[in-house]
Amino acid sequence: MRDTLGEFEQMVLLAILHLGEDVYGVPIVDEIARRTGREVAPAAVYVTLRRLEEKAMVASWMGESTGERGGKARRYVRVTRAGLESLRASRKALDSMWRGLDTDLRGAR
Amino acid sequence: MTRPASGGGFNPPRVARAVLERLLPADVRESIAGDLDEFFQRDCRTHGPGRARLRYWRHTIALAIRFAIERGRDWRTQPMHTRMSWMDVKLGLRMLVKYPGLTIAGGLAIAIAIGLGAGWYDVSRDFFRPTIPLPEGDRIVEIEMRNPRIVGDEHRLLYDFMIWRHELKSVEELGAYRTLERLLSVGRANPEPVTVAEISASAFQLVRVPPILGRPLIEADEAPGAPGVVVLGYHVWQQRFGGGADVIGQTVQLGRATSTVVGVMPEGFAFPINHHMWVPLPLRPSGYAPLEGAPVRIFGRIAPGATQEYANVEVTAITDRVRASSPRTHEHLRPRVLAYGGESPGDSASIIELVVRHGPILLVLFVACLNVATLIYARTATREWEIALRYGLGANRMRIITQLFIEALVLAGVSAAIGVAAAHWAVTWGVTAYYSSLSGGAPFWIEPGLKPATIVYAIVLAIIGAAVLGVLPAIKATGINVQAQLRNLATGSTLRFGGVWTTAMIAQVAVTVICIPPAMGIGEEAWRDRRIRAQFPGHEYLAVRMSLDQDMTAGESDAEFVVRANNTYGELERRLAQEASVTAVTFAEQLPGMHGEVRRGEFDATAGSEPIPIPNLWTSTVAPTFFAAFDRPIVAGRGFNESDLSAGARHVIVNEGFARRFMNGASPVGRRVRYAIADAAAPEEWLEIVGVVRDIGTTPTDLGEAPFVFHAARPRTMSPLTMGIRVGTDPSTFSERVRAIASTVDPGLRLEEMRRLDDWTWRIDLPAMVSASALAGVVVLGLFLSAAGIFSLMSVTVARRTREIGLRSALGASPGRLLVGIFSRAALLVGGGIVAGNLFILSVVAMSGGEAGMSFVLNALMRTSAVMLVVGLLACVEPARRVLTIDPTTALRDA
Repeated sequence: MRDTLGEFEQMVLLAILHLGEDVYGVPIVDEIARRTGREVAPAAVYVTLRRLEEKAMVASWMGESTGERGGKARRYVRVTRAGLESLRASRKALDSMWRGLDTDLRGAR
Repeated sequence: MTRPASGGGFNPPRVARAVLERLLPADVRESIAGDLDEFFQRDCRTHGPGRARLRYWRHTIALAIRFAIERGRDWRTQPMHTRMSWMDVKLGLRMLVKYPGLTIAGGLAIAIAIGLGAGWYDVSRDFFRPTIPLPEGDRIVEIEMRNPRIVGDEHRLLYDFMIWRHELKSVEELGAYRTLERLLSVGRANPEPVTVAEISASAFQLVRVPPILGRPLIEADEAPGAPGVVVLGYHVWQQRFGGGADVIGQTVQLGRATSTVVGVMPEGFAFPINHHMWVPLPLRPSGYAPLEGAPVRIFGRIAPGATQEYANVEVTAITDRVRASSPRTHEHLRPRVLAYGGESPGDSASIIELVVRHGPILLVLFVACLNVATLIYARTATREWEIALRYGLGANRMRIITQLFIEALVLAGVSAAIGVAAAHWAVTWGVTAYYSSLSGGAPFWIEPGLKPATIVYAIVLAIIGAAVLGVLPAIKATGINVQAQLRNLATGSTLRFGGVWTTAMIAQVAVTVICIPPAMGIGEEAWRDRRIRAQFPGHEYLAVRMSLDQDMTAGESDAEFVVRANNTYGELERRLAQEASVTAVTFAEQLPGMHGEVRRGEFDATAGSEPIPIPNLWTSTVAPTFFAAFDRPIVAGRGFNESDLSAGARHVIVNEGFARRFMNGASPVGRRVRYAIADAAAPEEWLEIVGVVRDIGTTPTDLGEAPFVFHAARPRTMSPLTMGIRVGTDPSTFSERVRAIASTVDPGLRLEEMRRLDDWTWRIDLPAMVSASALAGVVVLGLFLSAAGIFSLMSVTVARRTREIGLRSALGASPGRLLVGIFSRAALLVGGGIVAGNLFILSVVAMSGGEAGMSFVLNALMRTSAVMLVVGLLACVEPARRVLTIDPTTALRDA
């Protein structure tokens, strides 16, 4: 059975997809904060990225050292095919749950 | 090496960075640290450096907490077979074979540490709070009366016992007993010695063990004039009465008294110590004066709702009141309620008890593990490739640490099994040997060998040991940046011995250096004493400890007892001397080779001058026949005669050792000696030296045979009384004959211990020999571990610097220069340890004011330093060979 994705995991994966190329920790934190309007703890993002990588939904690789970060290299990430499938499955499950409730929850939206 | 983050001229907090370095997983450390630097620079621009630093700290703490939680989650969710697999155990076993040096050195150290630990735990448990195998045995207590002015306890407690029995509320079923040796006569069979407990009937209520036949002792048996009764132990019943049920009602002769058998106790029952026959303890209804009556031991059971602490308070309060009314007898007496058979004064283990029980063990184990950890660390250094490869294949740090822990656990487990087996053997042998001299054998609660709880304790020690010696090196070996490790592996090992390991090894060398002189001193002394005593013909003599009790039940008066005792000993001597194989019979408090009494004394060498103080003066009370029985002639003056036996006689004989030491070999006959006591206002009387006897030669000291003063006395007044019989044939075959003669002379005569004199001496020498051997073993192990540590250090250094050595060799460095460059660290380590150890010894000697022995100490230190230096050099031989065989071409090509 495929691992289900938590809400924050979905946010991280979607943020990576929105950002496109050269994605690493800092822009992901910024992207989630910009789109959700709430402050995001970098620690939560790094732990989630590591967990997603363990589940093979994200792949990562080290970039070259850059002077602006004290010589420390960036770890770039991308969403894998398994990650995309999990996202689709999560969306499908949520859509299924929402179906038929749009009218009742209109006031709440 | 990383450069500081640029931009704005501000840097993140250093401490927070260091925390990140330590706590973040190695694979994401660099990237996350870089990201945080980016956040920091941006925060500096938007919020200012102060707030940026605060936010940096917040991120750091959040990361530390979240990754710690993640690690825990990973660990919990991993199935057991991926946390610890059978493969790890097999790998651990393979490592034992692959590194035989480490296996032998480390395994031996761990085995000794765990063996010592398990043995000590077992013995100390029995010492403080043994498990009493009786119903609610943990509530049974003994009440002791300590007297700080004498060594040991005051046992003349019948007066106090009768008060406690009426007044103590926190201890019930209070009873008293004393041990008697009696000759048991059943029908026409030969009388045989038995150990009898003269005991309160309440003992049988206390133990809650019913007899298998008849009844136990009851209160009515204690009443004055009650008929004599006896309860038998199982083995006495089986061996002496054939195990028949008709034993109840039979009469037996116990010494001079006739008793009727009223009950038989079940197998294994031996309360209060190791007793197998019980008779009532007669108490005078009119009571006793303070410290009057026979010495007894008091026992009882903590009452329901009471505690041992409260019982201590209550018994102390009662004794305080007695002290007020009887200050002369009770001024220095202090009662204590102790766990039965042990020394624990409280209901639960005190801090001191816990420290004494566990402190030495944990210290020895920690030191041993730290030593072995250095060896394992060195081995780990040779396996960096393997560790890096496992990282590369996806193993996390915890998995690798677990693997190294399991390897250490295998080593510790195998060592613990060997250590526990050795401890079991040693404790079994030690306990059996210790109690073999006790009439009746070991107490009923002592089982020779380690208990199951001790085995569990040893397993816990092994796990703790494995954690110390496996996890510490593993954390160190896996904590470095894996990327760097992978990059640098080609150039040689990246691990190195840091300050902590180096300091630990210097400390170890220093401790070994400190232990060598006392070990050598104690060992030399023990072997010297043994060698000298072995020259004495102790194998020709039979030594018998004996005593004779006044018959209170038959109303024997003091005067009647004196006459009977003199007649008994005189008749025994006469009858034994008539035996064909006996060439001499004598009496003394201590025979040659037994423990003698040592006192302070003063020698009046010249009339009118100050007496010469004698710090250690050996003294012994002997019969006039003593010197002849041991072939020791009087070399000056005269021997003892009948007049020296009177109560007012003040004549003594000294040995040649005394004359040599205080008269330069001249005769001290006519001069005076006395014992010195602390109260100068009331010195002891002077004793006139009437003769000098040849040295017996069984009490060697650093200055030759010890100075002795001999007093003359009749056997009746000697305490303890020992009879020496010189027998032409093997003395041990004569012991049955001695028993038979003694029983016909007086059935009340108790022969308590009888064995060959050399056997007696050997038992006295044994503890010193064992201590010396154990100390020597510890020192040898310390030397071995020091050598192993130095070897490890040098092996790792050579492995790390292989390329450098090759390069220097290619550039023309001579072998001598190469060796100096590499081994200067080992020299520093050994030299530092030797200097530290020597300084410690010298400061201790200087503080104790031992100037006279300074040359001796310096001599010992020189020998010690030489030994340590040789050991250090030997440890460097193999690494040095490796340095000299490094081929520059190969080393540079491999790099």
